[in-house]
Amino acid sequence: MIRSTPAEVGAPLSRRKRARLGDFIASKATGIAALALVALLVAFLINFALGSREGLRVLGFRYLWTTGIIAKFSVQGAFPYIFGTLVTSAIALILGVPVAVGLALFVTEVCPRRIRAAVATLSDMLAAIPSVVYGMWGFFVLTPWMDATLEPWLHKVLGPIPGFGRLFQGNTFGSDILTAGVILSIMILPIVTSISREILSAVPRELRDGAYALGATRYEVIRGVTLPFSRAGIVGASMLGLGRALGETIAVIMVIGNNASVQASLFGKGYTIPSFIAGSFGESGTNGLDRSLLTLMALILVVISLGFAALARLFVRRINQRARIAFDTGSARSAWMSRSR
Amino acid sequence: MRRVKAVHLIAGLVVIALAGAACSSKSNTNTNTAFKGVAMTGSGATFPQPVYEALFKTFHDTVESGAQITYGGGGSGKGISDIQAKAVDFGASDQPLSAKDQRPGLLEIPTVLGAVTVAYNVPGVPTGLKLTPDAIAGIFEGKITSWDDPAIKTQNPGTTLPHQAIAGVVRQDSSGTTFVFASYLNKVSPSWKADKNLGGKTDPATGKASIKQLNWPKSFDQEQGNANVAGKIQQTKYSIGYVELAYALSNNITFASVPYCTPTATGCTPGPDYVAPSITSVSAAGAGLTFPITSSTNILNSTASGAYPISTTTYLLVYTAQTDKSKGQTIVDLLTWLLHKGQDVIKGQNYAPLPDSIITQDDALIAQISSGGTPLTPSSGTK
Repeated sequence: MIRSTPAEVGAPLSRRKRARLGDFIASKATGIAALALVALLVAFLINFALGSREGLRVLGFRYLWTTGIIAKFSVQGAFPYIFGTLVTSAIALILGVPVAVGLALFVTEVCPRRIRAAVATLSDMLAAIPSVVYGMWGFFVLTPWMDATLEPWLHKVLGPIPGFGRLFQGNTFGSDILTAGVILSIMILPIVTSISREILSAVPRELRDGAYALGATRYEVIRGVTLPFSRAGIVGASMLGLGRALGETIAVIMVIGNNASVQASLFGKGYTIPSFIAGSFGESGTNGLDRSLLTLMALILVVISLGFAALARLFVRRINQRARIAFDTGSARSAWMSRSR
Repeated sequence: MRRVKAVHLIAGLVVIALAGAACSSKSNTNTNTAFKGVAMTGSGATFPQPVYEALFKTFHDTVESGAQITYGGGGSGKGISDIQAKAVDFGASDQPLSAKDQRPGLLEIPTVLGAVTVAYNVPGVPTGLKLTPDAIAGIFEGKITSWDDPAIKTQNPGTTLPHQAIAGVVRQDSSGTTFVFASYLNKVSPSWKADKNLGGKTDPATGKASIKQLNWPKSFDQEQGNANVAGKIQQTKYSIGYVELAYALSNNITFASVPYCTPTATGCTPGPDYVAPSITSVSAAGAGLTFPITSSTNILNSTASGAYPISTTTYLLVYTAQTDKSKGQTIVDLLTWLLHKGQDVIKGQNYAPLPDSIITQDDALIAQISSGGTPLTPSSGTK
């Protein structure tokens, strides 16, 4: 079918003759792989959607925003799971992303060149630690320390503040959402740090040099040039970290208390969708309704993750568009000045 | 050449040593019966699974070398349905058969005793804290929230109880341990029984009371399995939870002493004697087991002297008419050995053996097992 023929001297090669069997196979094979991936994702979604039908038919969509027990079926409403997932991930991002970006800035800007590689490697190694080890460490080391030291301190210092202080009320002993959030933030640190490092080091030299030439201090350069330029990438990195946080099961199940309750305080027990699924799937084998509800929760988790990923892409695209406009219309100086607003 | 010879020599010695060990291991320390036993399968309750597995293995290794017994676990429900369908040679259940589940010729033989302890971790409070049944119910309903509550304090005048919130640790998964604990509280606490989430919870599939998985108060820590509950209690100060006896004893956990209580119209008046859970006190509760076994048989809140109130029996289910003579003989031998010579194994696993009065009645039940019309008697060496 496609034959390779030697080129005629001086004549332009036709496309057909240029195509070789190897290229053909390569393009088709990668095409099939890509299609297979998309097909797998679609198959997952269809499978979960079909499996959730019975649960939705029996309980309806109000299952998703019911906090207590649906008495008629003796089933716990799903809102606490969704709430717990979102809250622990939010804590993970709030605590983890600033630290990760700070660490990335340290490595790229401040750190002496000699130890730069060592620090970078160490932070990457955090990603290599399995989740279950984090869970065990959280169970044996972090939880007692938080119970005895950090949480009473937070309760004493931040508790009395009206409004915000409601986050820090209640009994500090035992598992709680805050501990789960802290462990998740440690777990997303390496991903966000390593990607942010790449992003930050991709800032064009001429922009930074221009800013320095205009008399900016290092802090002003970071704030005015490096970070704004990297905003899109850092958002992308955070989304990857969020993806990991949303899916963490073992580390969370050991420290969150597995109690389907919703309350303002971070010291309360909670539940996340992954730990609910992991804790309940064994029991639900024979009960069709339970299994359907588990499938529904899995589908919700997938929708949440995909939703955040899509949102991130939108956000990143908007940032890039604005950046492109700004850089196209101005010199380095005006770009720098418009950024630092 | 010389090196090759040395390797051969060593290999030969290793083979001889292994063969010698293999040959000698079977003959020295056992009480071999002449009948060798055959392979069998069983399924059911997970509460006694550790002790059953130890017993079956010891029986195979030291008594009947042909009796390879596979125990599949899977829960009491599975054990009952399997033996009803005759898919296994014996079933195991933590609860006596309901009237619906009973079958003609299906025996329920009590084998070992277990118990549920109320474990806690309060700095400065040693083991043996005295808790009345009402106090226990109040704590696990979430009504008693502080360690220095009068309900606890009045019973323990000599102990300094801190003014700290009680952190409850319970089971998230469906469990026989929860079932026993909740059955006890259902029996002794009217307020627990009336609570829709706890005592009054119903299984929508069957319409019956479902007390293996409860809707605990919002502040309670829920964990998977006895091991995780015990671990969490040990990690968390001012916590309290319920843990199976075998686990509590093998892990040096501090647990409460509980009294017998006399049921009244409005509650349950605690007696004067607070009993700590131990192999002795649980065996004492076993003395209260009444025959014949009915669907409501239990040894909770036992009146027997020195009995621990939150104790439970577990049953093996076998048919009186055994179609396969060898299997029938193996079952008879196994049950007899388990009740008599297997007691050391049971105690070694931190379960409690049945008292002698019950064992005699069990022997009478076993004597009903026959094959082809001929009753099967236990082989010598099993008693």
